[in-house]
Amino acid sequence: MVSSFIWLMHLLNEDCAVWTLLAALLEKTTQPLKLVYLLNKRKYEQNDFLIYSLGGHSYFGAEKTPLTFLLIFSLIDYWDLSLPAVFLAEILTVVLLASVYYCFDKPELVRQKGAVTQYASDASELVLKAASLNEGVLYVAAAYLFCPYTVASCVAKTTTVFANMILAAAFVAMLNGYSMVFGCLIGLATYQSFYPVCLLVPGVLHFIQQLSGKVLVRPIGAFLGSFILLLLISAEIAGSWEFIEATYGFILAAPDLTPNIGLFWYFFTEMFEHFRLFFLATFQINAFVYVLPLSIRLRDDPMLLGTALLAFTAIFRSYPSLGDVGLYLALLPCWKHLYPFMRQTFIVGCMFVATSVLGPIMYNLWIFNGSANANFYFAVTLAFNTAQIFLVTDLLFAHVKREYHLFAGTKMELDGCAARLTLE
Amino acid sequence: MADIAMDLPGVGRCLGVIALLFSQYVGVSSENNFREELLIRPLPSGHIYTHAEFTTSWADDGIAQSIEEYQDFVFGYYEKFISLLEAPQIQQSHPHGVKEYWSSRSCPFHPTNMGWNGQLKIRLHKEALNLDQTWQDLVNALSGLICASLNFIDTTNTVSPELSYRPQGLAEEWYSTNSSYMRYAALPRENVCTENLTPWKKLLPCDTKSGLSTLLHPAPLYTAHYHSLSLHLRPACQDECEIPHLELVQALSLVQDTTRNMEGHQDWSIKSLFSAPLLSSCPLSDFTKVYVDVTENEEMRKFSLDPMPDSIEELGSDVGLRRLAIYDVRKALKEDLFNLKAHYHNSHIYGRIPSPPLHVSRFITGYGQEGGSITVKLSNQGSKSLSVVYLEVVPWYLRLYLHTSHAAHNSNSTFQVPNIAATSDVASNWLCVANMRQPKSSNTKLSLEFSRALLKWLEYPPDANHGFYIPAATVSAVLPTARNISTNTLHTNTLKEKLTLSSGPSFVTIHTETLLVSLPTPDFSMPYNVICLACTVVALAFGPIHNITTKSYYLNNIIQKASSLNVYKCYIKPLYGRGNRNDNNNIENDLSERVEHEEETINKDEKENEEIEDED
Repeated sequence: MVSSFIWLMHLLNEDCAVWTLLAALLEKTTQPLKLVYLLNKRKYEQNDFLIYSLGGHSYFGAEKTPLTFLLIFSLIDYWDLSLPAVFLAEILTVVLLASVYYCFDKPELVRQKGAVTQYASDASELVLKAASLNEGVLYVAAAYLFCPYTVASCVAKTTTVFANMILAAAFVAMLNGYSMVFGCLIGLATYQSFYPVCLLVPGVLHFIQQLSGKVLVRPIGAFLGSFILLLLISAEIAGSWEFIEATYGFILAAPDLTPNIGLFWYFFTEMFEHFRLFFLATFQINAFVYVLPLSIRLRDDPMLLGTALLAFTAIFRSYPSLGDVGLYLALLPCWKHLYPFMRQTFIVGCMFVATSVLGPIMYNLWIFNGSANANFYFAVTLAFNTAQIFLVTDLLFAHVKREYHLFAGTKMELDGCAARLTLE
Repeated sequence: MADIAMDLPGVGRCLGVIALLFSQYVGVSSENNFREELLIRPLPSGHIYTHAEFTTSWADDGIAQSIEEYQDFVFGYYEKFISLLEAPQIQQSHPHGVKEYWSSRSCPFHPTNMGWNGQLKIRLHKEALNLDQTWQDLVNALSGLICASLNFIDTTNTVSPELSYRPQGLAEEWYSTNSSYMRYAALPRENVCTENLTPWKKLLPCDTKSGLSTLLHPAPLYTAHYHSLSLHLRPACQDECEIPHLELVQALSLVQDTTRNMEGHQDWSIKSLFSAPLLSSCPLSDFTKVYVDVTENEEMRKFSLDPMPDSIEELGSDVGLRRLAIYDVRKALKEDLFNLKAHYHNSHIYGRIPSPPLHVSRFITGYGQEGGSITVKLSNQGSKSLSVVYLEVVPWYLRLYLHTSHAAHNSNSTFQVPNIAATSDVASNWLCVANMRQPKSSNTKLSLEFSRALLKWLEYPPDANHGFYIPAATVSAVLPTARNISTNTLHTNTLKEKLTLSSGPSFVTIHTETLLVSLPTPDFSMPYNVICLACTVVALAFGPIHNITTKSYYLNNIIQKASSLNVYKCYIKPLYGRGNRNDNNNIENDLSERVEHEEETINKDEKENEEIEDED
């Protein structure tokens, strides 16, 4: 444990160097570098705050609620603390994520050790090892700190960094059984960007399994209480309820078609006006439609359910950002015992690398050079989202298969004759 | 006639105006006046500026009463229409030349009240029931009346600026300072052409049959460097303001280049400017007069006029001094056709022209199609600091970054934009008003940073890559003297009186250039492909999750697909080896070997599953 913390500090130090270097570089060369779809976001937000403070309607890049404005922009920008604040938030997120791993893996280890008698005799290889616990903490920390997506969103000083911190804290609260805290944090996250509301389900499932008593009432009550309280405070600050339309309406109706890494922008640019509402509903429902089936299937593993839902909301939200992708990628080391069962890691890895490299290139060719058109960049975002979808579904398949092998053994024979696993 | 107009809704109301005009002319009542005037002014740059103005005014008890009591007088029973109706439209045949020319320092005076392209300013009556609806009706009616695409004016590009515009006709104090009755809209892409000229000419009492309007042939008009057509309707005063009357001013301005085809001489004649001499005057008009600005031509030293003017009058005094050669056309026409000629003694010498005291230029900076900024350069060459109101209407698809918008200053005095008000919404455009102090002999740079939005594919105009026009901004200021001012009085009825400058502070409105901004465009050719591809990616998640949640893993024999060799391996070989397989001792001894074997089966399994996946 001690050694892992030393390593963690070392990692933080390394990351600090990388991060400050990049920040310094960007401060100087913001214009020519144009870190696609990231730097602007910050400008949008600052601008929105100004418009908001002038009493105007904030329209674009909204997604930000009055309280977020007040906290992040008036306090942090007023004292010019955006750099240290973002940096602090990132460090805190890393510590929280590391503790997510620790809080998740340790009970899981204990549980599997206890249940080893129920497993097939030849499945002992698949059971978690205590040795992996410490290095896992490091993997999670490194995955978050060195993930280019996280670094990019940090350097761009987006508010995603703060949203990630809240979500990581919510996971810690969930795994430690603080149902009230969990409810409040999910309430806060939902208030900020609406989509995290579905993370309430894995939390409640976890508390049902772990705790007894009023397990349902407390997190849901805390969630509703905090969410409504935040809305009331916002209405008080904003002076009216119009902010709901400007924030949640903006998220759900997706009026802003500025290119980002998501699936919405080009689709709704090219959509026929006649079908717009129908497809808007169809696309938005994707972020939520998998909650019910997955929570039934993965009811014994709420943490995996949480990760999967986090990933799906990152893919199917109307204005996704790289920071959202960075968060669920950082949680993947929690599932390193599933890696042997994943079949598409190479393909997905290649897709991630290729799209991350090609994305900015295609964007520049389209917007600045004028030698490509929108389709080039759109193709890259399509591939990026396909890679994400493959990654999550592959992870879920791996989980199901590992469960099978734990109980049925690793031998692929039926009546002594070679057989294969099929889904039926 | 007014009764009929009252019964006509919508467009009918405007047609009612025309009917009213004609009925009044037939009667030629003493209160109603019509005047035709033409001003010809040689410019120092070698161009000729001509300005034709047709003023119609009606005054009878009904109109006077309705103006005084703010009652409806023309436009039907609920329109409650008062004050200014103005629709100037400007076109340039040679965009570069004109833009350069009129906005540059070579412009000797401020061409007042003229923006680039379509522009509409209206003040509505306080008793109009629904201001926005009234505005919309009026816009549609005017659109039909002058055959312009004014119907593209809607709530998104209409603003009610507080500071830049004031009523130019009779109005009470409270009304003139209340901007909520004011509506202003500009259509930067609207061009003026013969289709607008013909209905405009038909509003004149003599139509195109006689008078100055016979000069207005489309060909010379639309090959001019600068061309402006406008309609102004306002309640005004006559004499001592005893009888309020309704005044309609139809004005047409042209700037033509004569030096190009005159061997360097600036010679011009009415025939060369309008391709026909004047043959008649409108019999309904009080007078038909032609003025030539000879301020720079003392005692005909520069050019001589043929025929000689009836009189030369000096108007105004001091810096606003203006000398006009006046021709009474009706008198001249009694003898012969009227073809005024100017003969220059020397060829034109191009030189540096002193710039006007207040000068504005506007342009787009930045590269690429992501961001950029609108930069406005204001320069005050005068000897006094000026209070300047900058008004800019930016379409919503240019998203302004107000926090980075700023004004820089080349002198070391403190400067800031104390009042930038902005509203933004997807449904309406940005209205930026900067109220600033411009110190004497200084330049100011105002920059509005923006990012360009990606629009829905159907929101783009037919030629999307051509770009989007941004309407001209206006700069309003009160100049300390009348130098470089074209007109500064509102209380007058004739062009000659308007040209008489009163000395002292003068209000000017300067229009900047129209800007062309290109936005990022989607590929218009493949909406179906995009819809199909994006839906496919979304559906990619559904298949695997459906499998995971509804099915579970089972081991299945792979006999069906096996070859005959595999059948042998699976069924016949075990018969021989069964005894060995059942030996438990061997298994424990070969544990390490077996682990390897298991991994192989997992690998095999993966391949098979891929096949299953593919089938799914």
